[in-house]
Amino acid sequence: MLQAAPARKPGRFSQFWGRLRLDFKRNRALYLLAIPVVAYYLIFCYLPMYGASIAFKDFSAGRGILGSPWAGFKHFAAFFQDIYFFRILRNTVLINLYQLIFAFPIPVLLALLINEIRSLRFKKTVQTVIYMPHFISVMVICGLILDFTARNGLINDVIALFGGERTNIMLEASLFKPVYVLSGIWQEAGWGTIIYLAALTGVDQELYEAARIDGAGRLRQMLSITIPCIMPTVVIMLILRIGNMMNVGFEKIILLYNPTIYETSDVISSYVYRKGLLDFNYSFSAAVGLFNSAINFALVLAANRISRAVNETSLW
Amino acid sequence: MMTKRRWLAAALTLSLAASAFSACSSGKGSASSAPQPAPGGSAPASSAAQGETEADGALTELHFPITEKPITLTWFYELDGKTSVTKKSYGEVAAYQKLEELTNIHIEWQHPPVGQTKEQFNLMMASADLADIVFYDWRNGYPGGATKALSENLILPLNDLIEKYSPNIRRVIEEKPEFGKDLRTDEGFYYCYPGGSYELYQRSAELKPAFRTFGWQIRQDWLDKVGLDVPETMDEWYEVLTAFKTQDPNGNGQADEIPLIHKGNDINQWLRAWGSYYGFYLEGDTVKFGPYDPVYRDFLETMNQWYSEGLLDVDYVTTDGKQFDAKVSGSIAGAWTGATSGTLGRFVQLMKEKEPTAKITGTVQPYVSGGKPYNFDGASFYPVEAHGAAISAKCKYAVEAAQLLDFGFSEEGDALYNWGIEGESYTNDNGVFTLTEKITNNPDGLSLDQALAQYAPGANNGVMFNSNSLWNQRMWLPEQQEAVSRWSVGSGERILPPISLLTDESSKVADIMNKVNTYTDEMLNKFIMGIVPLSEFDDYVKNIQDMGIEEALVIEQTAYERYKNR
Repeated sequence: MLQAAPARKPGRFSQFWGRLRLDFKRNRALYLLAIPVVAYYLIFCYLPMYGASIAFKDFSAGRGILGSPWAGFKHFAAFFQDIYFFRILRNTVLINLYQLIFAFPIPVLLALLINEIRSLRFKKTVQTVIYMPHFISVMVICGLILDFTARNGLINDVIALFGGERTNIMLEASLFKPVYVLSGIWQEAGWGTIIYLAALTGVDQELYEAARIDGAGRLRQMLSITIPCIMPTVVIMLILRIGNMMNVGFEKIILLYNPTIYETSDVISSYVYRKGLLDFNYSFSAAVGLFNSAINFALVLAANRISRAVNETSLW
Repeated sequence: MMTKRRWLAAALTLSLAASAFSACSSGKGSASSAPQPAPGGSAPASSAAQGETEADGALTELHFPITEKPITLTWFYELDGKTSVTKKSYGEVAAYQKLEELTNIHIEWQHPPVGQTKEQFNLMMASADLADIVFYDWRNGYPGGATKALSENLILPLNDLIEKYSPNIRRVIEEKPEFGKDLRTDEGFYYCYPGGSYELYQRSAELKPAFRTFGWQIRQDWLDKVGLDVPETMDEWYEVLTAFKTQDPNGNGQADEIPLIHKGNDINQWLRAWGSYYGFYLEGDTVKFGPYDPVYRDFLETMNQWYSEGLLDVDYVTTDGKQFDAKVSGSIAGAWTGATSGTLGRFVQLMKEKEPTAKITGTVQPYVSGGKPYNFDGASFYPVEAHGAAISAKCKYAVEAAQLLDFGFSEEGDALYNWGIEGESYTNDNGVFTLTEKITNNPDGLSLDQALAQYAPGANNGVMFNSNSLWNQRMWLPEQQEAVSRWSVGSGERILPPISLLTDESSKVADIMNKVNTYTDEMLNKFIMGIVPLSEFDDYVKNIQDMGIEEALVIEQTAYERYKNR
């Protein structure tokens, strides 16, 4: 009776392996097909993660990642105690919040509008035109923005036309975030419609026919069929967007800002760029990056859970 | 049910795509750990032994080819803008082609993309995978400086290599002890083959250096029109700028003149008029930090006055190179600061076509009444440039590299690097070198410097001594000659010499100065533009103090004492 006990109760683990082996035998070809993808993730996503350990080390180039001495939470503490910590955190979160409130809904609305266009040629033309700005390099975009916002630029010409006073817009601390968010909408709104337009093509046409027979007008069809059908996509995009709340790309920021308006324009990534990359403080950059990722991860989890509870759509 | 599953699939695809993108940013580059200990210069003299040697095996002169068996060295080197106009790599420059031919060493140039030199250098250092030869600012460019790079075994200490295989630079060090002093770390290690100037190494505070590369520039024809002399003191400047503003010197009937233009924080150059400097500088034997000085308030007050009276461009903060050029060439700007060829020479040529009556000249360094002009053009007083070529600790041919880099300090190398190819880019008349017509008046419309850069790095930085007479031929415009002679006035006694910080010191200073610089850059403009009133200057000083400036000053002072005792 002593021998029987362990053999009778296979753990969940060995059960899993058993099933896996069986499954592998059955679907050998599929597993083979998956190997490149799995290898890709292992090599390019998981393996480099050991590099994140430099956030807890005093990284020294000569000693390498593994050989550098441990430093504990020193770099995290340095970041939290930095006199600019709250300023750059506030700017980062605010810019993302503005983008969420103002920039996020635009592609959805745009996609709905495009969907209602009946002339195919007009529809294609509009799509091509609004996709275009996405392909312009951020360097060029920022050059355009700086020219437009200059004292003798386009925007000031319009202001002056209506009798207003010319100002240099990029010297007004309070205007930086609006300029940043609005130019972002201009550049990316069109591109953002692609995913929603794809979702719209998937809507079952029979639903529309049925609604028309029941006497629903165009607006009714949109409200009762189109919007509910693309809602899952919208929610998923929203969850993914929330997972980026702590990120603001530094390229556009450093191309647009100047020291006078650091107060509203300096974000975590631009500060880390100056301090981490240019001053060779990689451990500090890694610590900040890790901190950001942790916050983002927590936000995605929270958004996902709320979404699942409220409208039964979720990432997983 | 079907739709639900379809959305799940879409969601999965999306999340995969998202993680694929985010993965790009998580790669930190793998660094091979623990480089092998540097053998110093003790590498066997393998193929280099064929030269004449002294009893202890040291070369007395270079012998070519340096190696019988062809070898390849990689060389990290920022491609100069004057060269990149016509060439994609230094491998296409005649002088470097000649060098390869002469030495039998093939050089594989590694040019970082324009504007990314610092990031590329940092990445290269972080991965501990250096090119065989790395030309960079080793004094300020790598935190911890050369001392740290040496202690991390990334670059070789060159003492033995110079002693044995670099006879030309060794001779210079013997002849000019000051040169060696500026070239060494506090611990006495040589770490790079520098660029610099041989003639300048009779150093004295009141010396009249040849290589004046930066200074104040003003419209001489406007001065004539308003009947004023070239300004020197700050009071005279105020008078001149006011006259520019009110007396319509460009004569178009509109008060559209901007008397003084600047590009962003360049405005801090005016602090020099108070004998202070926007950064660390020396007063007597004490290291000081300009934006923390009491006189900084006087400077801000004056600039704020100029700004509010419209003497200083209201948009100076956001002015970029393009707008700067437009303001000068449009005859709207009266005065500015800039380089000898890049600014002054270029504008003189530009205005010749657009407005033939325009005349630009240089002024002496401005100073407050009762004071004297100070010069902070460091390169003129400490002519060992911060940039130099170091040899990687992993370089397999350190001995050959030491000879290759020594070539620039030989007579032959001096001629080749400065002047290029005899008969093509210059003529040699019994030792008097003259640039050819092809260079001075290029048929393809290239500027002199650009034309020369096709043949030699003489107008760029390089591992050599810049020739004085070449400089004079490059700065041939009468306006340039006049400006350079005015810019030579001024004492260099307040320039901080090339000190070097230890590893801990440097990370401490970097940490403090990162905060301080962010703050001072921001406040500089806020004070000048009147966004923050000057009554808050004391709070500003207090804030810098809280950021730890005193500690940084102590560290800099210690490093300066070490430099003095070298």
